[in-house]
Amino acid sequence: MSLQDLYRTAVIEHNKNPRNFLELENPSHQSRGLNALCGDDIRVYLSVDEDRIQSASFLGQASAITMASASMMTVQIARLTVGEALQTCDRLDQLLQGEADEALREALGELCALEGVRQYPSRIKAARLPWQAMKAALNEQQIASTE
Amino acid sequence: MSAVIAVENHSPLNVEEIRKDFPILSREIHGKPLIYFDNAASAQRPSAVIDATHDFYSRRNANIHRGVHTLAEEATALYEQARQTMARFINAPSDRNVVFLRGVTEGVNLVSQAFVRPRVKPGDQILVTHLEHHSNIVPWQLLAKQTGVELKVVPMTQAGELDMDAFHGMLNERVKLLGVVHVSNALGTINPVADMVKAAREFDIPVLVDGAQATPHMAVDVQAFDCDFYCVSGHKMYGPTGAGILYGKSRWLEEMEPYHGGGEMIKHVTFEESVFNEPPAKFEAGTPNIAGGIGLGASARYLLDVGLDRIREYEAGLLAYATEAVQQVEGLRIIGTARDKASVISFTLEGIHPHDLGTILDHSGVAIRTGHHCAMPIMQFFEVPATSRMSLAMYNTRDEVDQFVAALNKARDILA
Ligand SMILES: Cc1ncc(COP(=O)(O)O)c(C=O)c1O
Repeated sequence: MSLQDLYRTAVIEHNKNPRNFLELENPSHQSRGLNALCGDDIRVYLSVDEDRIQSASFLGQASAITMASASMMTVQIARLTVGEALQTCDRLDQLLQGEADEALREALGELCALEGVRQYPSRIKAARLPWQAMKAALNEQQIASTE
Repeated sequence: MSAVIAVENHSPLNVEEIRKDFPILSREIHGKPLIYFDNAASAQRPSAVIDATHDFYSRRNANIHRGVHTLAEEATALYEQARQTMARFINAPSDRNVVFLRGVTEGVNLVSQAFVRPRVKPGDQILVTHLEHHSNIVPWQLLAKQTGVELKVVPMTQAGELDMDAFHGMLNERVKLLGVVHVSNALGTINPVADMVKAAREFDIPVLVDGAQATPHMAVDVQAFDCDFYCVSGHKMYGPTGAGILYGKSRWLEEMEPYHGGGEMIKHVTFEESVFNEPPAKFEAGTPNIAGGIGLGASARYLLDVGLDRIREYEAGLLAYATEAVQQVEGLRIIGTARDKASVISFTLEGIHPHDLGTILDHSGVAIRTGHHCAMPIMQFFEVPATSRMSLAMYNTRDEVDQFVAALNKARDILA
């Protein structure tokens, strides 16, 4: 278990320069991901049109793991159908549970950089938080809170 | 006390000797010596406490106040001696003023339900401060729901000190209890408890003091404070978890209704009615945490032996050193800069979320607390979602502080 494994280069890079770190102008869906214990608090914005996520963005304050996961998420789910985005979320869960094979890794691409959290149970929640917020947004829920 | 001991007690605290009393301090974490800076969450235990509980279980275990056999009598004697030690530890007039319970949380709930609840009506007020731990907020919110009392909050300043002018302005006849934390766990602020009690007296307001973070750091004298209730948690003062005390003035303890019903707290029971025991037994329904109480007594004795004035002096030096040292770290902001502080430093580090910092420091063997410290209103006041907190104990050293600072800089190298 090493720090380099948790804070991989891609994680650090996304944390420092988060992509789509803004509020969408007219989001069709939005929700908040909250983990009060850790002090993670983000908002996820989606613009969905005809079952396809046209764009995704987020704002907030959170640990590097949550920030990187959210940043990568907004990049990956843009242009996906809602079903595909949810599938990506399931795949990430599989990765975090240590059940990823090569095909799954390939499908996840850059998100594989989050794998290092597996050894830190409290950080798995942090990695999943943006995705739970995305799901909550799609379900028209105001808030997704872990813990 | 012999002359030799008296002289020894005036010598400064010898931290290397103290460290030998704490077996866990020789542990390594991720291959590095443990640097335990999370003492405000729970302190470590000296051998004196570990041995006292071990001795109880291995040689004297039995229920108390029940049997006539040897073990029952020995167990009862040890438990009651621990009560006497706790009375001496906080300078209570008698051990009859000392109720054993699980800790501060239970103490506040007991006072809220057994003392305040029967005495209030809608429109009355409970006064607490912005520095309270959730355990001195939530029980009063429950009471507010039950009775219609209003919860009022004494504000604090940017330094994390109570606004004493505002405090004086908030005292009035409708206030039925003042609850105040002696030392803030989140910021380290030491509140002027004696002055606050004195001011509350003018309106006959009973005062409950949350002493969770005070007892490990300084001598406590409940008679000098003249407070009505004082709550203590054992695990903060190097004792066991789930063991604490509530000090109460005799007058109140006698007048109050019981909190829980059951065995031990009664004199006589029929199906029609029960005659309650005298305090403190009246508040101690059921078989208590016997080994915990005995361990708590051992921790108090240990602290009295080391000398709380020496501890206070040593920790003040360490706090000054640490405050100076952490301020050299770029981007570090100390949250809570009260003039009178216990050895707690809450801070934020620019560009690094507290949770990441906690993980990175752990890899250097350093244990700190990150998060809201069960004091979310304080985080809201300073507009931070969370802070990192180093809380120092009498066994921490300047060398550990230096290593901690090096680890902070390493965290900056990785993430900032
Ligand atoms: C200031 C303060 N009050 C109350 C408590 C609650 O203590 P316990 O959990 O032992 O009841 C704590 C500890 O977390 C504390 O730091």
